[in-house]
Amino acid sequence: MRTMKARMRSKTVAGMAVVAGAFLLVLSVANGQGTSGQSQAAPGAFQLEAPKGLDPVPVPDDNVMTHPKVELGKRLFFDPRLSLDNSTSCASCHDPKTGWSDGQPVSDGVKGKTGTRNAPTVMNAAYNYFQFWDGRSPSLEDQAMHPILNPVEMAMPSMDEVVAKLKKVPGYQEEFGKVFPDGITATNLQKAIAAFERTILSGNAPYDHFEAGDKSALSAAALRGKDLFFGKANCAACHSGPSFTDGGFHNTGVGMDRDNPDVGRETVTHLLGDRGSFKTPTLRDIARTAPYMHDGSLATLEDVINLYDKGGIINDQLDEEMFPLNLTAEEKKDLITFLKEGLASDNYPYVEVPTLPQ
Amino acid sequence: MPFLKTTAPLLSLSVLATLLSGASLVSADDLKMTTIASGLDNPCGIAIQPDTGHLFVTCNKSVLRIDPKAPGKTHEEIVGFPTDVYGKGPKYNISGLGASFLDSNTLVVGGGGLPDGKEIVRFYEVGSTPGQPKKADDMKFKSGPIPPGKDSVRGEGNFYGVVPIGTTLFISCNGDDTKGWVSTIALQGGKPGKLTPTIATKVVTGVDAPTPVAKSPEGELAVGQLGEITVPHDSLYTTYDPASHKLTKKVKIGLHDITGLAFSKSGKIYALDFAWLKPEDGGLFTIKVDGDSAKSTQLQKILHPTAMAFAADGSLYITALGQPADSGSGMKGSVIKIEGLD
Repeated sequence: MRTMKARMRSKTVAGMAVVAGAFLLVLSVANGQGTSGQSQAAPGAFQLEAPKGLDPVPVPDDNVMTHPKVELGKRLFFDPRLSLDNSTSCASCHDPKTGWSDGQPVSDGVKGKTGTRNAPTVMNAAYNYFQFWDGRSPSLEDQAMHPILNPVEMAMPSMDEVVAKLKKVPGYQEEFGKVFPDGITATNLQKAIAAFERTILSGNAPYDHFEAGDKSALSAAALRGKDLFFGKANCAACHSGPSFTDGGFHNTGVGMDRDNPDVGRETVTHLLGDRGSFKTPTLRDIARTAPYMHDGSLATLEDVINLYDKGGIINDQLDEEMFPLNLTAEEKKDLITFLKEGLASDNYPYVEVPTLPQ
Repeated sequence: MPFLKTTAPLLSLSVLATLLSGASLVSADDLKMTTIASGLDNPCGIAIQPDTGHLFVTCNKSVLRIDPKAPGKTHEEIVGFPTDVYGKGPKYNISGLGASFLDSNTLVVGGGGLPDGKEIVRFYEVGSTPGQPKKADDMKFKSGPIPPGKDSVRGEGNFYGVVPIGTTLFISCNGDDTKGWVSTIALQGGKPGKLTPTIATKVVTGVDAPTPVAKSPEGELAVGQLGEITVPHDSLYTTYDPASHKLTKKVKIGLHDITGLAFSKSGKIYALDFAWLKPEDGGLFTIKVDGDSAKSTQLQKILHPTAMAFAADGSLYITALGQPADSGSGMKGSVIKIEGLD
């Protein structure tokens, strides 16, 4: 960086332009305007580091990360008081102990009601273009309110009533006040939960070490599995990119052989081509998030591989990427070894249940 | 103060240059748009014959010849192509896709009507004037297929883009989605060699579906990565060294589904966005690349544009599918002429 003395000596227009640019940069950092709207100098700024293998985490300009906000979001995430009968929190279905899902085919909500879809993991949800299996939500902030208001999940009648509940808790009055000038509002609640969810990241796995040059990071079986993943098994057609998802929607045929099948993305786009299509999930730490598929109908990774090996379940909108793979038993085993070992994070994002405000 | 006296006029110029650099010199109001042909059956590719300026448009089952001086009239140049169905709803019947001329009389058509693993690149001899329609299998040469194998899990197909650079023909392929192949054909003595998977664009760029290809003003191979049709704003503009096949540029352009790429005489980059998920966003764009970023500006809304080519006089011709029928042959396709671009 040029010194002040060096700046004063510069006489060329180009030199002055550099000076002006540098001066503006100093100003912008001092004002806390880093990349992606992230505050770099503001008090409590949260430096969100992506694990090895992942891209920088996208953070919206209107919801910068700070430590107090993330902590508040964590408490809200684990707080069952956000549900009608105080029984169900976000963490009830997105439990760190079970891969930030819940280990069940479909989830239980308040008063024993059940949903129709498997709880997606929160891991790497920060990178999703869309949230939910059908992509109906455009952001983590927006997504946060849906389960709270869903009658078979947390069943609150309205966000106003959620806010009213939280306002009765002095601890939340205080914590919201520290983070948001306008205190407890629905928008601020959603922002806090989203900020916390952005920190739940899975990367830094043996696959990433291997790609970074450590050729001993993957076992021989996992390495064969990796080659199948990116080759004959055709997984990378959809499970691509740092988070092993293209973020798009595909019809594998799961559920399409039932009467009145869940048509997934079509309910949002109203395009026939999206009938039976669901969002490609991340495969990071996939061994932790059984059962699998949008309806949790496949209990094990072996079941999943067998489905893909046979080419999915035939229906009119079956994705062109689904076709019989003709994998041998050994190849299936190696593929599963890659999924289980190769994509298991060295630093699984486990979070302890926090103390809740009173 | 001497410093200010000498720099003030320079500063003024620099400010003016700064203001102009980010602004498009062409706005939608400057353009003239004319429909040259309509009622076409899913036009997907276009090539302009060097000597005559005739347009050759790949449609479902046929290649049409259109003389821009006689708009509204089309001539079936080549007929009887095999047909495949693209899409799951809406669906389009398609045959030939990418098209390009090697010389005034050699038309190359990338196939789209055969299954992956059986698709071929077809070379036709065409005259300067319309004649009896030629049959699709009456090829001067053919190259391919790329069958299922170690390079491509189920073989290659849907050859959306075709461009010659030197003695190499580059073809974008959409068979194996784990690779996103741009394949090549070596041209020797006017004869094509083997169709060979060459650049694994998805491995290199992380984004699906190489679709339009073009020769950049710098002589590089330019490739538009379309991305996922269910994901918005994921298309890329990329360039490769045509000799080493190394990636030289990769920028996000903010388009949903890039289907056309062309360079004007002044070197400006033009792109088409099919915008599968949001057709109202589709149309003709300029792309201004600045280092590792790019800015796209919409010049003209067009419904489901598929390909384009600049004529020698600077006019741009664009094929568009228009609004599809429920399935099959839409017969709502058109060729649009745009004048006023720089």
